[in-house]
Amino acid sequence: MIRAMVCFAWMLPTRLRAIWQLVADPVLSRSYYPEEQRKSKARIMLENLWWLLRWQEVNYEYLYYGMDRRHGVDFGRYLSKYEFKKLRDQANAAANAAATAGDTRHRRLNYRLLLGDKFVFCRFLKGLGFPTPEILALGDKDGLFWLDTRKRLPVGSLLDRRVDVFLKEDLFDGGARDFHLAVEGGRLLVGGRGATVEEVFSLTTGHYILQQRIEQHPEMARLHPRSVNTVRLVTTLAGGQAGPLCAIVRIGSRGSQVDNWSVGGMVVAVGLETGRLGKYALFKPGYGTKVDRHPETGAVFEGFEVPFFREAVRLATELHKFFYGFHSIGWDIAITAAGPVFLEGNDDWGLAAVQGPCGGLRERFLASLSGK
Amino acid sequence: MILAAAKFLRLLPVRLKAIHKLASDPVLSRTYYAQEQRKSKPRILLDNLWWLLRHQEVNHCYFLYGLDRKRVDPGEYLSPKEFQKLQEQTRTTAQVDGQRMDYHCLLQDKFLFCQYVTALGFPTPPVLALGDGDSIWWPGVGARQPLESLLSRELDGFYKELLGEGGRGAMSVSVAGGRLYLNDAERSLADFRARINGHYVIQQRVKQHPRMAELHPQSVNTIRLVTVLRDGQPKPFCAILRMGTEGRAADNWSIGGACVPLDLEKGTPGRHGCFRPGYGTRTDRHPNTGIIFEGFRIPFYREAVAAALEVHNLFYGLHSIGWDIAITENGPTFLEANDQWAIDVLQCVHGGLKQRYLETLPGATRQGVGD
Repeated sequence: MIRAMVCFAWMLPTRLRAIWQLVADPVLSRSYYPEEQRKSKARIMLENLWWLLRWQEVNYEYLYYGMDRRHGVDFGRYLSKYEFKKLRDQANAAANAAATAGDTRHRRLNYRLLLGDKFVFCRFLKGLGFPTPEILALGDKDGLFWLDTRKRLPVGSLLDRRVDVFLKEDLFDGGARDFHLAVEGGRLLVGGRGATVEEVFSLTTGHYILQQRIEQHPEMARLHPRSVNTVRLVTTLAGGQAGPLCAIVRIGSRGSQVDNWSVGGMVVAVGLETGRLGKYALFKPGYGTKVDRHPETGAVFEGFEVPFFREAVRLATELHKFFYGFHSIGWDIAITAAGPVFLEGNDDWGLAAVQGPCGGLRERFLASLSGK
Repeated sequence: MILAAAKFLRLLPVRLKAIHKLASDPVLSRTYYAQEQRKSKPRILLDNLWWLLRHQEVNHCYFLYGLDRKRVDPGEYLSPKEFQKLQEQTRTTAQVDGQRMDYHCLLQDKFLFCQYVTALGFPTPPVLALGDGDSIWWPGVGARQPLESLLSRELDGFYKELLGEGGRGAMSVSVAGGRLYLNDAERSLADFRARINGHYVIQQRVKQHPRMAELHPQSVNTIRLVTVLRDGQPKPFCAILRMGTEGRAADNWSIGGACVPLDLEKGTPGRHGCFRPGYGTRTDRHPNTGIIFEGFRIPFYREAVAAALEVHNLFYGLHSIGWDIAITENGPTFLEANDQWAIDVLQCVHGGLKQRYLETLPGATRQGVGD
């Protein structure tokens, strides 16, 4: 208790400065809803101070959640990151305990690896027969282990093959370090530009995978053709029953090859029943606010129907039953012409990115804990 | 420190009784090396008291390791507690790419292990079903089905608890014409339900190589091969041959199976095998089939070692793994893998492994282990 108070007091100046920035910085304080009536600056300041006292964290998503609007926003409907983390960890611990059937010898059995390691994740899905992009090789700075020949060869062996892959760091989260890699006629291309093997592998640290590039559904490519625009679907599992909690589509922008919200992509809600996009896509604070059409392609979001969405929900719900050590999972699903393909699963499924377009998730998440 | 001392004192009477039993019980005190010169009874008692003080545990493997022989140095043996501590340390300090990630669920969860190994393209018996007390999932069928759906199938499999160890609860399960057989005896579904303990898998029964079946046809007789990562590269550490006895369906040492050391290079069995204390001592032949161990040739041994080393490359977060490998007519197949690979059994047939094992560990983990 005393430690927590000391920590809070220690962090207070930094946090107060962050709150002040949220209110006064011309970029960070831009409202996502300028067309609506706004609260006064003093009220915004007070509400942020209250959030800080209540949850011991700065609500960096205050404007992103539209909490600066005078009407129609209920703070109680939103989960704070602190509360979410606490509830999620408790729920995952309970799921672990249920999976081990109370066997105390395995009380430390932890399934986080299944989502944390991309190689293990993809292999597990392949073993279960769920669609996931093929992994061609597992590598480190010294060599590549080719899965088709089961041989470990020097990294230069890449040039002997014709590949069109994404290089992804095995354990790194966020996608910022992933890049497109192709070999055509013995020539290595990174993001379409020529490169040497040394240049490419000097960018990697630790293990990485070479994962076959996905050809997305033409309808999804219409949103932003340079990136694979994915569905993030959150499912929950309680009492052996899995079900969808919420879904968004993540869309790349500014010619980026990745669709991640954290590196400038935008997110838009998907109706769980209809598979149709909501009216607005939202950027991460600092990257922009909200748009009703893609700034580069002009694709209008409202009414856009995600192909194979129902199939994606069905598969994710089925799949979650095999990840019995987790209460909630955020699945990254690409949509191809043949149907949904699972790229990743996340136990930390980006509460902020999802709560922005989907609205407060507190009630739904709490209900899912009891399997309702 | 005070807590540890209090715990030691609290457990002392029980442990002293166990040591006394170990030294005087006619079954437990049977030597494994009757032809060699033995230490005197007071010396055995003193040895055991020293072990208790040194490791805070009763050395139940005293006779098994042959420490009752003169000229055998107990310092060459790793105590099970010490081994467990080292494994735990390796587990908690293991890092992949600078991140702490626990890879043990890949070994402990049998369903996960099978799916992972299958997807890597290595042979392992397919999982026919994943179930719990009420429902069962059949691969290829989306939704879970009630347990009764078992009787509508035709299968020949092996039931294992999802997280079971040491063959606990394992049994053969087959269904033919709506009739259920457990360990080859006809039983009702209610009998099966009563035996279910939490989650379980039913794996396809392995048809072992006829030469392996010669050892004991009722059980699948397996190789336990331990591989370790040294400088990031998997290396073989040691191997034993495990076989069932007395018609039991499992070959586990903990339930009476016999173990024989294997030459790592050639895969040839050593002269003597041994049993767990209480089940027997040493023998140079199988007690039921009479097969003599020395000179027995294990088919596909080199392939088994090569496959284990290859697959360990893809279990990169685990320092040491004990692979249970069955040999079929088509080659080796991985039944399961263990992080707790029973050092007591390996030391019993191979002699002390302390020094060799410590050499494989990263420096930081090695520190603090007494010589």
